[in-house]
Amino acid sequence: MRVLAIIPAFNEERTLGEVLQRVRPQVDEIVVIDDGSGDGTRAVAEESGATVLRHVINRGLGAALGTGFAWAAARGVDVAITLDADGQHDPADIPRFVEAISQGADVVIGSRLLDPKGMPWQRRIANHVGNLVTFLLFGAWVTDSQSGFRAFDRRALQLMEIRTNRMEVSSEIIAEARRKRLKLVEIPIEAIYTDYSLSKGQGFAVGLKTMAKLVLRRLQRRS
Amino acid sequence: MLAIQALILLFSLFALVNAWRRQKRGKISRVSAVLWSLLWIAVGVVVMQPESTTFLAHRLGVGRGVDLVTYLALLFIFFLLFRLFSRIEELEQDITRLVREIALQRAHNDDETAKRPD
Repeated sequence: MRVLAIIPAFNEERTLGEVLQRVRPQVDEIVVIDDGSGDGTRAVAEESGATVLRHVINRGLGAALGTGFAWAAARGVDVAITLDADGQHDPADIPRFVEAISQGADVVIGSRLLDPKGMPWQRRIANHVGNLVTFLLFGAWVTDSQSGFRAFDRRALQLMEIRTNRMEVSSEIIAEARRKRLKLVEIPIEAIYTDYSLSKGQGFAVGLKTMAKLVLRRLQRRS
Repeated sequence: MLAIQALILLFSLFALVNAWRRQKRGKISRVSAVLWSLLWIAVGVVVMQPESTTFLAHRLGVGRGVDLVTYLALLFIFFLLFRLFSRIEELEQDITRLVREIALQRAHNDDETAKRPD
């Protein structure tokens, strides 16, 4: 199976190099989506030999993932793995995602909450809220709707339509998986929280905005 | 006529003319020009004959005509706000599509250049 890693990055020169080094042995190809970074993100990515797709202006996580999916579909890979550039995901987990796909899953979500040790309590509460909103708006229940560590098979890549631009994409992916009747499974992962990775997550205000955008996305949907 | 009546009347007249000017320049459709005209004519009527709203208000179970006008105006503003919000979201999605296309196109071009024998 040909496995592609999709890594969205916005100003991640500090951590991206190490992440790429550790992802490299686990996959066949890596594509970094440089989402309009103002630092050396692109140079770091190119140095490591990854393909770099550059957004000329910052469009957000959802937009970057969408670009990654378009690339994956065009390359015709069997599995696409998304993970964060801030080092909070352990690339050593990748084979378990691929394994889940080969056992018939279309979408695999790495859940930090099947085994939530080490996750700060504020994050845990925020995650519960995210799960609840995802469930109320889209009727899909997962234990970690906001996880950035995921895997998709070829069918999922072809069927899913990603429209939201920013953090709301995490819930949208789960909603799309349900709407397109894809088989979704969760596997436990352990997130590595550093001060750096925590500073990159969603604050309260962004969380509220994310929620508003999700409501709008729900209204836009014609199904 | 009170000064405030004259002022609002003048404003709605201006808005009405402006709607048709925009229609002529092709900025808005004929249908929306008609709708805007109806709105501004209604504003003019209400300003000149404030009692006219009392009749409607009573039929709808609202105490005073002024209250009805306030409710309707608020509803209208919320509607506009929602439309604006949706429109911005659509634009955002369009921009993303463009940015994505450029990113993919450039990667493709780089690929072609790399393959080309010197």
